[in-house]
Amino acid sequence: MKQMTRKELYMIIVLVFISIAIVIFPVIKAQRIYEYEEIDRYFQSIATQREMEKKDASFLRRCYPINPNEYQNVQIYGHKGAMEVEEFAIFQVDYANAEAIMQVCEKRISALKQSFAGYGTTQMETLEKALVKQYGIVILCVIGNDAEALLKEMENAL
Amino acid sequence: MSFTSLSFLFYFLPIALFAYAICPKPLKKAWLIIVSLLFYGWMEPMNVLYLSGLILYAYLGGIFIQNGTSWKIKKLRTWIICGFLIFLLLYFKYAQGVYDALLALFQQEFQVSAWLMPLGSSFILFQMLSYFIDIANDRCEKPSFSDCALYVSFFPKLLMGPIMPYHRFQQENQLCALSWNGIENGVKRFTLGLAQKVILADSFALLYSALSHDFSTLGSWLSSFAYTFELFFDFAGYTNMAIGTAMMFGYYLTENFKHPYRALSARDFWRRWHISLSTWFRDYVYIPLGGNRVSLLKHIGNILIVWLLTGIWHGNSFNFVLWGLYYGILILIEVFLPQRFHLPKQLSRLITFLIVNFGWVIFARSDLSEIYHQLQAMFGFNDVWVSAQSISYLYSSIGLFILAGFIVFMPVERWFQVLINRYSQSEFIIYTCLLVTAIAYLLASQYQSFLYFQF
Repeated sequence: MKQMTRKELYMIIVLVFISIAIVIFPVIKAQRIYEYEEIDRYFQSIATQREMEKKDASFLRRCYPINPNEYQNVQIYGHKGAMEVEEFAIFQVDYANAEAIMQVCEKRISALKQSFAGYGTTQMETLEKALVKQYGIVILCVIGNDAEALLKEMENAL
Repeated sequence: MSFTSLSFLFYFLPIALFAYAICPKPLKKAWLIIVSLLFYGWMEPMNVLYLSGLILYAYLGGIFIQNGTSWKIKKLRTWIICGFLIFLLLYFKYAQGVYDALLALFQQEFQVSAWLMPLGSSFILFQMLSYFIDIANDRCEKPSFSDCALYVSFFPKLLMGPIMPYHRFQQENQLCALSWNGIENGVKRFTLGLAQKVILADSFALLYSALSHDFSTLGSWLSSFAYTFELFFDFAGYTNMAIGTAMMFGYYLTENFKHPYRALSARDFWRRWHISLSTWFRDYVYIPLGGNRVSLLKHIGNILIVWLLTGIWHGNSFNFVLWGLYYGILILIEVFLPQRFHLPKQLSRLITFLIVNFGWVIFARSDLSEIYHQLQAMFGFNDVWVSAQSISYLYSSIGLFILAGFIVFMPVERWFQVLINRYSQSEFIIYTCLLVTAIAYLLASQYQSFLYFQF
């Protein structure tokens, strides 16, 4: 310790500060910009693996009653069978409309819950795990048993 | 940013390379550092601060170690500086698990997404450890700030290696210079890697995800082979792209693969698979522990420690520990069991391939019960031998398996060289076809991340 100069002492202080910063930087997650196409591509691959199909405009109108002016892009993936509730809906929106779209997604989940309440135990379990989340200008409605894991994986992957 | 993203291929790489070419010589390194920071921070701007912090830490830490007046002081300082990096690695890999366990223990529901490991941290931190140890051992000259910054941040090796020790990076790149020859070879190598990733690895990825929960005997074997090939083409493809990109900028990166599935034993496999990681563990852990020049018990301990650490390096779930120990035990058997008879080469190759394949079953699944189910099914201890799904995937993917097997097991490179020597124009045609096909696949296919990104 005797050999330590003042310069080295400063260096140690700087090193300690840098160390603290290195630990903290990854914790402070920046508000990153997610691209709609990227998220869609990600969920498209998941949907293909799970043999889900792209839903058409009539499905959108029936299940997500939204004014077309309120979103720029939309893609919905679901199963053919009416008894399977797994579904991914991806909306590209303006910030101003984000809240409205999120409400519609929540309503969709509530509507499904109402239709399966009382008899569809597995469907209800899946619906309980559904998530609606905003990623910048993208709103995601993920209905699936592994909704949370899927979103986490997507955050890591993109 | 990923090597397989269109923005990298069509904007980032050409612009970075062109600017590098016209950049005055004294500014070339600075430009590469800026490009590397941009590459790392492309999707998560906070990563730029993280990487800048690591660069500063490496530079100041290096000086701090070098200023030690005696070997004892240098050693103490190296331990302190490296200790923080080891803590950081454990913090990123294990803090979330510990936090979740504590929440579960106290039945709390409060969640934060705090411990997300920045991409490539395991690779970056291991390179920094080698940098500090090389400095302490006087294996390299005093690095300038730009040398140190470029070593830590050089974008081709940033996310998935190869892990190149500092002294080698310095030695190999002392005379690095941009050349047409380098660009041409780099583009060829990059094309090869891109094709391996998007044509082969991604096809196997889809097959694996479709069959990963088919626990019939046929389904389990198919899914295990699919993962074995996926992992190889994914990682080797990335490495080829990394080496190719570095070549374009006039830099050399160490090789990471040498036909691993043609290995004759488990030990031979690790001389061919992820060479940079196994060399790192040999040089910075196994040899400093005494290697094989110690008592028998200590030698066994050294081997097990190295393999345990190799497993832990890969991730925080128990299957990686198990996978590390699996190889530790295999290598112990190989080292200490007297070899009285030699099997024919092809049979040794087949047995080693199957051993590696079982290893990947452990590696691929974090759920231990799934590992058990798959291995049980593979050995036929299952009620279902063949499922309709596995039969249909066998028919649809048999061509893919044959192609992969041909590339992996046959000396394709040698044949390719013979073909080029005979018909010089064929090289250009083959690489152009590969590049066009790979880009077509890239445009048409769905997103597939690199498997080793998670580490």
